[in-house]
Amino acid sequence: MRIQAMLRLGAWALLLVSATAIANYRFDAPDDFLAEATAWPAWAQNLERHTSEREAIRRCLEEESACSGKLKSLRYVLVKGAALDRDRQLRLVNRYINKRRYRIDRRQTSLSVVPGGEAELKNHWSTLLEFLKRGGDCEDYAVAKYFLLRELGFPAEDMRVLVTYEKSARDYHAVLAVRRDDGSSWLLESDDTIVKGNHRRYRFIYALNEEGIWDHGE
Amino acid sequence: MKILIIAVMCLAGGLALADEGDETQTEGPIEELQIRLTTMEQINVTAEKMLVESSEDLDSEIESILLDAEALEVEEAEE
Repeated sequence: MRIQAMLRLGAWALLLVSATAIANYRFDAPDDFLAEATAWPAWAQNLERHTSEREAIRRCLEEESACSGKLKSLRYVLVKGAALDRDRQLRLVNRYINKRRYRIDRRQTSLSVVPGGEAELKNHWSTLLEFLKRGGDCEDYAVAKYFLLRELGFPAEDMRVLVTYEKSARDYHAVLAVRRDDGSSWLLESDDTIVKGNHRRYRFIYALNEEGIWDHGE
Repeated sequence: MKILIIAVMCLAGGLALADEGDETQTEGPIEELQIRLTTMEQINVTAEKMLVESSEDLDSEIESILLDAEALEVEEAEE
């Protein structure tokens, strides 16, 4: 009887672990790859603008007197952050970005009429410096963390801006997904938490980085 | 025998439905991609979350970096 109870308990434990693992975000789902990053014009334009900004960041890092505005504090975080291990870099970046003002970006979606008379819905994304200057919404938080971690040397292939549907909030929400060395995924939240083990409260919608766009199915 | 007949009927029904689906598919892959991207772009992603106390131990070095960075911004704003 005792053996049967233990076997039953073991089976339930295995089922729970499996369900959790399945629910966690996976970077290795090749069928979800939708297109190159350039296929989404607004995102591609944001990447281009950030590339231009990187020159200013680089000059600031090389010479402190070249830093102005938010670049001073950014430089400080980058210099100090470079000396931390990966785990602590993630925590530092998460907290530094989350201190910014939350602001619904009314430019986030706007209807514009293009030649030919067709209305086109355009999405707006902020670069790192744009976000540090004026804040933004959860998408902007995730994008800013992505760019800042790239400056700290995190590979693009190990990070994605991940748009989810959060079941408890009943709303769409963006986080930054980071793949760790052990293959697990950490989700950097805008409330300062880092969700490591159990992603079941999210339904994954789509993700993007500078290498591509992934469609997770809604 | 009865099971065999039911299985054959299910298979025939499935094949008929699949054929019907093929006849209605007229869009190419590029159009499908554009439709999907447009759908994704229309999702309004603006959920706000309040900062919570982290359950992880406070890291004094990280706290110190954040405070110093904030001080630099205050200094910049006052100039």
